[in-house]
Amino acid sequence: MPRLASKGTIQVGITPSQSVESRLDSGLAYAPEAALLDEFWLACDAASYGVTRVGFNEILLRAAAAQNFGQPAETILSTPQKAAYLRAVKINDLVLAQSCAAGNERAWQHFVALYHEPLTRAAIAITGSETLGRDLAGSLYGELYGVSERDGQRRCPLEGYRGRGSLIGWLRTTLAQRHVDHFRRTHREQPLDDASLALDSAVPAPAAPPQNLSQLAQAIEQSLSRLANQDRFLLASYYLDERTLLQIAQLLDVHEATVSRRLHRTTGELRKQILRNLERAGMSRRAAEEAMGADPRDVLLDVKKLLQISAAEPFQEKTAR
Amino acid sequence: MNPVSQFDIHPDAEALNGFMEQALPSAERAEVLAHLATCSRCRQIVALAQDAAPVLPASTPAAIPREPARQPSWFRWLQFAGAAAAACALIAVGLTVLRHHELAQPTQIAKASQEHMPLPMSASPAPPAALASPALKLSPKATSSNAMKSVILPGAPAHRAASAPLGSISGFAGGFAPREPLPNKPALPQLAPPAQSIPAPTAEAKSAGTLSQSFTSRARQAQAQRPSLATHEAHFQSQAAQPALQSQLGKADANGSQAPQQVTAANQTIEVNASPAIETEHASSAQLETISPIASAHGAQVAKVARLKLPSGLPSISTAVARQTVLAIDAAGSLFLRAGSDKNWKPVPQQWTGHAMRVRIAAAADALQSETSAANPVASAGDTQLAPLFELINDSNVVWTSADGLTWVAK
Repeated sequence: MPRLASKGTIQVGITPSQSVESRLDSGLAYAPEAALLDEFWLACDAASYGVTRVGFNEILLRAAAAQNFGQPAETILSTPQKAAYLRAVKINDLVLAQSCAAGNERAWQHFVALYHEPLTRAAIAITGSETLGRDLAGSLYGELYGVSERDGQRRCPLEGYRGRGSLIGWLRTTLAQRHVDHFRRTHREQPLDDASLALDSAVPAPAAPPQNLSQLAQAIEQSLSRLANQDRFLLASYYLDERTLLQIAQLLDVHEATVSRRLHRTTGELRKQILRNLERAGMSRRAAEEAMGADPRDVLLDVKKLLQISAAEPFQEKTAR
Repeated sequence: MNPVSQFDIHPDAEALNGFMEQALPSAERAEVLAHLATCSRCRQIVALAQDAAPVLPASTPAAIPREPARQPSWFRWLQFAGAAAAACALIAVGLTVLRHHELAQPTQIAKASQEHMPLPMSASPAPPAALASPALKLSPKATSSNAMKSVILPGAPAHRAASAPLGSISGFAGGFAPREPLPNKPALPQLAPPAQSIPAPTAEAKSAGTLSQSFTSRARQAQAQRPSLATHEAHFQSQAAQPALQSQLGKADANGSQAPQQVTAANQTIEVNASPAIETEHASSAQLETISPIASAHGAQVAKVARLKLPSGLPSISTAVARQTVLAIDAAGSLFLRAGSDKNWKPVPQQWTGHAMRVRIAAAADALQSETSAANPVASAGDTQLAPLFELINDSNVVWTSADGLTWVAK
């Protein structure tokens, strides 16, 4: 039964204070979305692999409630907000993934028919080797099928898929995760991003650097620590990971010319900031300019490590689960 | 959150994939971006997944159609402005080409008889394409007369030159239509070279070639569009040695190269204007004689008709002259005839349909005349008495022919 909010907004569906299960059990909360769910049900081919209408509704609303319809937890949502979220969800992919996670054989057949080849190709592309790629895809298949158990229960990674992106994208990302984590585990002595650092650290440390170089290193460190997240991401992706402008632009959903301009502006501002820091440290403008022309190899500074340090808090999943 | 990570708390595959596919809400996207900025592991995952994706993933169509929507409005206006600029450029180029086409038409000759008897020079300049046509044959007299027409004498009043309509000197009302040279041979039987058929270049070739040294810049532009003129000029100079013609003129010695030399010498001292709007009515025959003996000899038969005084009071748009008969079409499309020594124009009743646009010497008569002249230089006009002498073209491009200029039949 919808209740009237203070500002006239009809509060429907799940309220953040309720647990998902209790909301699902209540049955009353979903009445306003019934028409929308009918529409989704008609557009979805979930019935072809044996998903009932009730099961469909439960899959959809459970996933939406787990994300609080894409909004931060404790946010009270209106019906249009919920409808907008549900319309953006990949419902077919979501229902298929959750059906597979629930052990629906027909859904698995459908899944294999749809994603076996793309998954194998993606694994080969990620590993750069057909053998390793097929091994990676096979291991993920086993994991998806629920071979692994936790606390005596089969665990299927597909349960974590909530339909915000495409299922094939989620599978590719999962493959990449598995590959990177496998690489890190097997190269623990020489981590992926620390390989060059280890080589650098093997070089005997030189004598105490000149005063201006130490000031320069300090100024650079201060400037980098104040970088905005997006600027830091741009610098790290472009200079450390050597990603192309197009690849970065695709990730940020902007034109590559925009990325280029932003990079140019960021490096320019970074240089100015370093100069300002040097001047604050007591250098004249001319001396600061000369210090900026120093050979980077003379500066005892690990820019890679500096870029990986951020004042921001580490990623926290704040969505309701 | 995916518990696979060993080093830190990382976004799970759902969040990373949502970041890549632009499917996250802004707040969560900012969190993922902040993490990616400092986490090489997650950047590596994103990079690997991104590289593994096909160029146009079928399941991620969301990011593609958003691109045009993010174009600023001024960019869309720029596209319209670009189209408008392209249209303007096309129009400008078109006008320039038309202008060059005008300039390419050899200008009419400044020539007027001392007795003030305006005889029409019905020769129309040929289009550039006709210059290169090997089938086109003109006698050197026609060539020289046209060469003469491309000279404007210093005495010609400039205001009249400017006021002359293009059609009155080009033989076309429109001024831009392709033009054909009108052979002047029937009107100049006494100037035919003895027993010599001359596959001469066109009149325009001669005029542009022999006078090229003294052409103005606009004339040079027109000539630049016709690279074959140099060869025509050389041919003209070799053929221009015509003892009979020179003896008639009394101005050339036995040296066959004298005539073109005179032409060249005269051209070096005469201002030449290639403007199509040239009024030539006041050119004197005496001056013409200093220009070219050929022109001088031809001057007794051919005079300018750029400003004929027709009974209708309208300017003539096309004229033709043959066998002492002059035909002229005024701007209203009426045809007038002047025969023999009669100085009065007679209107010709309309026997054609539509609007008369052009009158010219019939091609068949010209060809027959050429052959006859080659076989027997004495025989001339009489052989083509029965052949259609004139052709009239109406505004529908229907051709009417006439042997005397009075009676016309559809061709």
